Amino acid sequence: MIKTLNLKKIYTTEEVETTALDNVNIKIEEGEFVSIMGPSGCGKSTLLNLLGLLDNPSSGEYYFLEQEVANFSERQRAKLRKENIGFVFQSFNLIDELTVFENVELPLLYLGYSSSERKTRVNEVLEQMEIMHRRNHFPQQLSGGQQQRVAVSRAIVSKPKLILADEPTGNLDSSHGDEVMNLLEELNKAGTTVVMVTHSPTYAEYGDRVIHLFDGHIVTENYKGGFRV
Amino acid sequence: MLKNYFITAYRNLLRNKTYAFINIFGLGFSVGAVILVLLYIRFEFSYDNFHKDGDRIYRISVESFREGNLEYESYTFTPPIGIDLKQEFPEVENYTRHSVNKVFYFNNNDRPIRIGGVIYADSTFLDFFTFDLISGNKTKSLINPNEIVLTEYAAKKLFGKIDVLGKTLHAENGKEYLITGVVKNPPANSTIQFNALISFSTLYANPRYSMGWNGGNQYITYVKLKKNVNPIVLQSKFSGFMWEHINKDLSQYNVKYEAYLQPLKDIHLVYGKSGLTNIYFFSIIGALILLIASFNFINLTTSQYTKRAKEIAVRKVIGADRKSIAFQFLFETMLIAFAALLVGIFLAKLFTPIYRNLMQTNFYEIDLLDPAQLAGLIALLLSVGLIAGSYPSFYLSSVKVTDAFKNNQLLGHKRFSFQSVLILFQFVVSVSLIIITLFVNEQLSFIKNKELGFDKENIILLSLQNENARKHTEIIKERLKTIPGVISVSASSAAPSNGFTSNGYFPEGFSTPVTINALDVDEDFFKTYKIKLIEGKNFSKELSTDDDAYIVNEALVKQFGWKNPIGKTITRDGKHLIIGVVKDFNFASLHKNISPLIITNKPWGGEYNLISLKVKTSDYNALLGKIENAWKEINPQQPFEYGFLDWKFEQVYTAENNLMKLFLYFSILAIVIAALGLFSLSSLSVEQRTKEIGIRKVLGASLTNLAVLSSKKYIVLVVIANVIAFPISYYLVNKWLQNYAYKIDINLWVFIFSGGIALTIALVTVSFQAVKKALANPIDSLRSE
Repeated sequence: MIKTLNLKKIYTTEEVETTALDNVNIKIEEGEFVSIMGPSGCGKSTLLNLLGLLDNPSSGEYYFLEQEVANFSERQRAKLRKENIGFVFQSFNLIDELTVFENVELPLLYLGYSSSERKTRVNEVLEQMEIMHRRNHFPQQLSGGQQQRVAVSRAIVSKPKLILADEPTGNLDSSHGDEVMNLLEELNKAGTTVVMVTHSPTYAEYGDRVIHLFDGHIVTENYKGGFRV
Repeated sequence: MLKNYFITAYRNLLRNKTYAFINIFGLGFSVGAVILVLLYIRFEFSYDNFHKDGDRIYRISVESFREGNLEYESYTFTPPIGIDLKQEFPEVENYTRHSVNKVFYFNNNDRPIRIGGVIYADSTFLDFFTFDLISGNKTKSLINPNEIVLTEYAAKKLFGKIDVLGKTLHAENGKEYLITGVVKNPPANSTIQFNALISFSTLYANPRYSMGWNGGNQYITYVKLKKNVNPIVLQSKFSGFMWEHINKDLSQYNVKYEAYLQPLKDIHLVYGKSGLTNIYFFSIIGALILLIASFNFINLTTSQYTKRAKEIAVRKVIGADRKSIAFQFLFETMLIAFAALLVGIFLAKLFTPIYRNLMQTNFYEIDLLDPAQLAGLIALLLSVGLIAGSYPSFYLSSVKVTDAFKNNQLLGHKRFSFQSVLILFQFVVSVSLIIITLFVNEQLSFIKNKELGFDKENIILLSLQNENARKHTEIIKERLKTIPGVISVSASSAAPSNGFTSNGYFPEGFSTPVTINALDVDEDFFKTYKIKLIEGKNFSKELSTDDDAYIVNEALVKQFGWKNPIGKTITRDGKHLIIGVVKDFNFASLHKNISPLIITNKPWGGEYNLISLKVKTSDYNALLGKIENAWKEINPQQPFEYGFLDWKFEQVYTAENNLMKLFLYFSILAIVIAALGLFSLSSLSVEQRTKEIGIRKVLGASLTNLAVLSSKKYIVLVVIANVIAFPISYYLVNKWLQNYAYKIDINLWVFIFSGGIALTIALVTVSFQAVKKALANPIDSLRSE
């Protein structure tokens, strides 16, 4: 599903040039659950942004669904994103002005679903995430765990092939954290590919594979079945 | 999707009420101002467009040349020009004429009723133009002498009803007029305004009126050309025509008239008083006000970036492309513009009477059922939306997801230059408007208080409008002189204020006539007006030779280079001896220098038009009561109407006074909108710097330090705006002052004062939020981060 070759990302400001990712080669198969770990500033979120087509690499190749996308325009990337990728963030990133229902409905609006299709699909997902009773509430009226469940609902409502989760448990207490991880695990079991950045070794273990990043490089890849340097 | 955009916009506005209020009302006020300007412009362009065949109707105007130089241009001319044009040019389908406005007194139950705006009109008039006839016959109503067609207004005033066909009207001069028609009042957008039409043949029946080519220049002639006639080609043939009829006789004086055609539809705007200038002027002001408000919108919306960045990023993450984000924000702007439009419509409706009064036109009311107006409002909505919304939607849609998530304020600082340019523009306009308003005000008060060479205070004017009054002027004068409080009484042809009539004269040593202003006065005039006689003597009742004598002003003596003017002669219908010279006085508006003036003791037709009373009293009501009683004793046929000379002067400068008021209103509007923008912008900036303010306060910064910190950027901008506005407004004020022969100096203090006002407003506005934040407990600022 995902393949990168010598992926590089350099941030340039007026005074300094920072290499956030340096020659990263990674391959993720469909249906995998991959955890990415590493200290702050090692390039985890940058890698996730590139994989999620939120940004273009400075150099290198990126194949998404067998397609070279490294030099795609914003418009092409937007199209691929909305059709194939769901995102879950540490800070939930729900739109404050929209209700739970409206937040979850948003990806379907951009995909051009009809009103009745949207209603059915959103209700299904809210039921699945056990947040249906809060459908008319605004994000500020929910607890952190509930907000993350809404965020996950929004990520999966369009049935994406890939879910990218950037520290999805970072703002949650352990019980809510566990709840979110169980959700991701279930989704993965149902066939969705999951790539997750996390600081927690426990939650990283949910993955089939744990990739360790340091200073923009992959230093280790730890498979459930073995260890490889 | 639109529903989603609408919900987001609505909830965002509710959440940021101050921002929403400033945006909607800032735009609303400017939209209101623009609506008024547009209604006014539309009305101006609609003048005379209701006449059938209007595109084939032309007014004849005449240019008068002396020794090859253009002397004046006038659309009033002698009566036969229309008749002869029709006779000699097959291109002319028909013509019609009417006189200038007259005032009549008609008796109704022995009570005189004044009807102004009475014109003598040809029998073709009603068929030629499109004025709606209520009763009577278009082609037969004005054929015979002494026939009259009344407007609804006049009929109601005289009889209290409009069903008056066939009735007889008795005029104060003893004449009887048969009512042969009633016509609707001319629309407000008609150049030709009248309250009653009297048949033109009435003039021909009165030997007093000279109706030939050398007759009175007080008739306006219109011609209707046949279809497909090129007016330019026709006009090119007028030279020969004029030569045959009038110029041949005048050639000995080196004088000639050239006639040309003025299209009916251009009469108001192109040939009228300042029509187009006003339109240009108010279009520019309207556009500037709209730009100032739109710039506020742009600045506020882009400054809201930090609050909206997350939403934009989220939308992009889940699939929105740049186009749909741009569309979303343009849609939001349109919603705000729509709300502003509603506010604007309400305000325009509210201010219509004031604006109408200031513009002295009865322009259209706002009417949402009028398709043209509705289309105009939609066009206005779209232009406001596009002007105000294009940049923010372009800007906000360019937000990068990774930046937005990483650092909310990343783009906030890059905006400085564009935002600054917009603020700069707003203050350049505001400061310029303040400067111009102050100078216009100064010039008008200078005019009001300028020494005119005569005393205009405490002078009451009584118009001698009916024949009885004109015949008994001497008796009226003597009766008025007996009233305590009346110091002096004088009769004259006119009062100094807006210029005098002019005639052709042959001053001694001249073989061609010179056009000179003339005034007819009695021997009490100089005393009444305190005009100084600097040489020679005043007219005397005792000396009958003085009847033919002239007194002239200094300007005339200077123009003809006479060293000893007394004893010189000026010829017009015989020789007239100059017996005195008066000190120059401003008898026309101060737009003009004092021109040569001949003062005679012999009014035209032996009748004066006006009585001036110099009075001294502490109780004007009692004095006016006594004057009225005296007037009624001698002249009961004419209702007592009086005026003060000061009022006449006020009238001369009404347009300028109104212009000044409009400038004042627009300046206030501009500065208020700009200040509102600055206020919300600085509030946002202070909000973004909450943590910094807290830290600085903990480290010992004073209130002043913090106020300076937050205001510095904006104050520098306002100072730069002043520097730009000064030369612009200097140029404009200087250009405007060139219209006046007597004008103020352009003082530097006005610039400094205006700059100071703008700076103070900016300073108070900007530091308000910073001081509020600085006064709070520093830990609150830090905690909020």
